Amino acid sequence: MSATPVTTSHVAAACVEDHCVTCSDEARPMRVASLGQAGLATCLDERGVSSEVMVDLVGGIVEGDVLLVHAGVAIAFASRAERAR
Amino acid sequence: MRFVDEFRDPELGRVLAGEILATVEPGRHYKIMEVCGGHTHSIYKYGVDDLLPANVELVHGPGCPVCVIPMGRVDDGIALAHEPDVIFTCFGDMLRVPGADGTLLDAKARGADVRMVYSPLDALRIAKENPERQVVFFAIGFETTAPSTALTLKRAKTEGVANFSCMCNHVTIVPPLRALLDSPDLRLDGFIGPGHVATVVGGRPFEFIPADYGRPVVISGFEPVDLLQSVQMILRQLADGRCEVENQYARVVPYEGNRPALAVLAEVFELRPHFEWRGLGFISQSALKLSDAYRDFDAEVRYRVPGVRVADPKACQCGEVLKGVIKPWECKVFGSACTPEHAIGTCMVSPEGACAAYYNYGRFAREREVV
Repeated sequence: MSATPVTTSHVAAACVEDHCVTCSDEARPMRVASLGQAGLATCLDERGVSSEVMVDLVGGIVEGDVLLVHAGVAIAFASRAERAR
Repeated sequence: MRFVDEFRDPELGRVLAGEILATVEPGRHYKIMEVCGGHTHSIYKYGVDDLLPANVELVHGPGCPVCVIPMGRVDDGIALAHEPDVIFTCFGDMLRVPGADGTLLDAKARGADVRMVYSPLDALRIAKENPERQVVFFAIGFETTAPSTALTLKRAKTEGVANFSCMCNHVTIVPPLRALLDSPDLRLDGFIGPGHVATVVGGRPFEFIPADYGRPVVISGFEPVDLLQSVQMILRQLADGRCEVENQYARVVPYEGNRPALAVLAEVFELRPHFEWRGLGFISQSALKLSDAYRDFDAEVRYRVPGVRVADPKACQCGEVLKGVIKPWECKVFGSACTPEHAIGTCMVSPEGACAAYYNYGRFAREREVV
């Protein structure tokens, strides 16, 4: 049996960085780019790809916060941007 | 990115590998289960197991929601996808999970309108864009994913999106852990706890493991340094004769969990009396269904779902892999009849499945050398 890693392009196409969004447990860090209406925010992933994220479960976010996002919802802060004093 | 790069630091990894080697008791064999599919994926992506002594064995648990879906639920989903006027939406991995009569991709090829989405919110958007059609979302996932489905259903209700419904397959992590701990053919020394499930539920739900079963739990992050540190913390507890829930991932996981998430889960879902898990059988109160307040959005109420029950293929040993009884390469069809391109078992479908993780990262070695 070959020990060469196998390229699975269909997997890569379906997942972010070959990591599936339907995983049991892993969320991805995303940076808040702008706040939207009705509990939504535009966020950027590590590669700069933007998507609309539900932020109902994390209170008091500001632009620059890094959120853990799973299946389109932010479930926690990874790090907070420096707040204006 | 900050909070990612420093947890991939090779020098820190080497230091932790040295500490692990110094902590293990020579001659004792340690079996540590990582519950979560995300951890399994990281372990093989970064080669974390290659940094462990040969007597520290990582056992891969049932924490990939795609992998634990029984074939009958896939067939139920396919039946819904073939209903007239239905747009059937699900995450990408589910499309390739085989039921008794093919996959959702096969159903799409036969004319069903099956679409991949990245989040339930995308499915709701499709419903709003297609008011003349019915949009069904096939929801899967543990407590990490369930809040996303719950918030989407709340939005659908608030906005009156009547053509949206959900076939709920959400599962909960504690009942299968208890089933595994009660399993007579599995001896484990400790658990690497699921970091992002814990972000939602907190650390308290895992306290039964040290309290009732005398096994340590360390809630862990997903980077290689996180995983090495978590293994070291479990070994330290064993060496010290301690047994408790520790939180290695405290930079993200509050011990009390995410209260707004728990509140929305309690509002939208209720426990099913029992649910079938691939390889584990029926487990009481281990899955969620929509609560009475959201009954109008329940696809299993809106449509007549066949309720198919299908035995797994005889050649497939996903059940033993999910319980950690055998390693993926010990399955009779691993890498031959069962590959990611043509999966027989669910563990080969999702990148988080133990078999796919082994296969994709070339982890075919059956012997390991002590670092």
